[in-house]
Amino acid sequence: MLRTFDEVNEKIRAGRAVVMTAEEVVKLVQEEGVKAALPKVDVVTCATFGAMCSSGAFVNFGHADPPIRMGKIWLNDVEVYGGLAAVDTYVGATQPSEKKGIAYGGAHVIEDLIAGKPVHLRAESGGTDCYPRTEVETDLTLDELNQAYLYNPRNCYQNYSAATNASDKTIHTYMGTLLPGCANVTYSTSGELSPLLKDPNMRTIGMGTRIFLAGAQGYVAWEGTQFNRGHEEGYEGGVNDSGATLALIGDMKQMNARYLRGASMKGYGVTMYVGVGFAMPVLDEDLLHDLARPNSQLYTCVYDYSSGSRKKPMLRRVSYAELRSGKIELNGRMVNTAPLSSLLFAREIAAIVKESVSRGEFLLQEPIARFDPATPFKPLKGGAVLK
Amino acid sequence: MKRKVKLIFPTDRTQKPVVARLSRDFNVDFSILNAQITNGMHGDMSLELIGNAGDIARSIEFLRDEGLHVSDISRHIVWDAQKCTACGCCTAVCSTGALSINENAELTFDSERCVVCEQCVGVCPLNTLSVNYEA
Repeated sequence: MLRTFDEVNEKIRAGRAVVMTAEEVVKLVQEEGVKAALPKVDVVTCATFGAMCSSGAFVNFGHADPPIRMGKIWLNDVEVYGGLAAVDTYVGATQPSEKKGIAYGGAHVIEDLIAGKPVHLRAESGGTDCYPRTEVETDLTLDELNQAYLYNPRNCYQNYSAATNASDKTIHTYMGTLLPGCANVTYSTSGELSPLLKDPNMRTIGMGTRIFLAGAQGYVAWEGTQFNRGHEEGYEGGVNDSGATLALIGDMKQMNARYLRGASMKGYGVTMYVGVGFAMPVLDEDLLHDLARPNSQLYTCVYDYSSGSRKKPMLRRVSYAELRSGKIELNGRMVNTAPLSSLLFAREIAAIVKESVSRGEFLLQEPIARFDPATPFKPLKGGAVLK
Repeated sequence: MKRKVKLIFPTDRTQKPVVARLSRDFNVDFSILNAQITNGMHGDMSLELIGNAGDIARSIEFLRDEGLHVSDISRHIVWDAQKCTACGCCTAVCSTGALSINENAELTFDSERCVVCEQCVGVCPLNTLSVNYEA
């Protein structure tokens, strides 16, 4: 091993660390090769800004007097979880408003709180001896809450399938609007800036990894749900079209609403765009080789999303360089491609993290525990025969 | 031909059925793009008129004779660039390439190429695209 986390952190503290974004390191290695580039870079930053449905926030409201044990709770007419202690809740990002439907949901509540806007709380209870109040209604801002922290069970997909629609009807999916006859292809990645695509063996990312989470310094809390490290043979970059995921945590009070947006996918539902950034120490040549992999060597597969089945037909394998070009060949003709995640914002975040590391404000946390690469991702038991 | 017009109904004209006569008396089909009319109050309506040029011209003359204010619409897509994150979802449905991601990863909107098909409007996850029916 060439460098350790401690050595890199020492350089960061001394203001001597050379930090580059993953895009910059792709260029450097293309020009000079891995060996020559290795001494020239200590830290590489990656970022992503995409729709991450499996997101939400834990909130504590504080007690009224007399107090209430909140059983049913709404924030801006979006129902939030009432199954925790008296004044705790979990705001699920995808929960739609009871009045506005999918135009506004839990993700928008979280965005509004971070933006400093007041949010209307309404709660009901049967009343107990210790919590006699049965109703409460008030407006609250983020400052007035006790704890408010994002806890996203599944963010930062290592990789994701690209989507098309072979049927004869337009379909509206979480992969956007897909036109009939495979007339378009959508994909969601920051490609050569994508954190888990650039560290495919997760050598620098594990429990406790410090991250940029919507403007705050957050952490990787756990492996993400549906974590799937099952590598398929022949995939350059060592990842298939789903891969690892991460559970993330961070303090909403430190966040910036520019990097967390409530969103509504037509015909599908509410989701949340989340900006996440990473800083990876360049430990050795092998890792630099991975960090320097360009879009032309990072792949996914195009699936037919008109199939209602869990196992969708795969149409072709494609590189992110091809997808990023705006057109790919599919079934013998050229088809328009469209991204769903913002490369513009991913670049902005990678640059912010680079700046923070360079100024010594963002130190690298070596993983406290690593995630088991053999974790299988199982379908629902008996799922294929359920009514 | 098609022609898009905005009709303004003065208060005393909102109770008289005139629009239906476009198809009955002038052989002009219409689709209603937008309408806000309350009986007995001021109202407005945006129409797309479909028919031959002579029929459409005569139908507009009729509407004016009936006391309505008629003007041509320049219907266009309005893009809120401040709210936009350039995710690119809208480019998936933009058949003319008016909305596209440039080499700096920014979203650009070329109104010259836009045919106002409105496919992008509901598709933007952040609701940054809307149609302006102003005349």
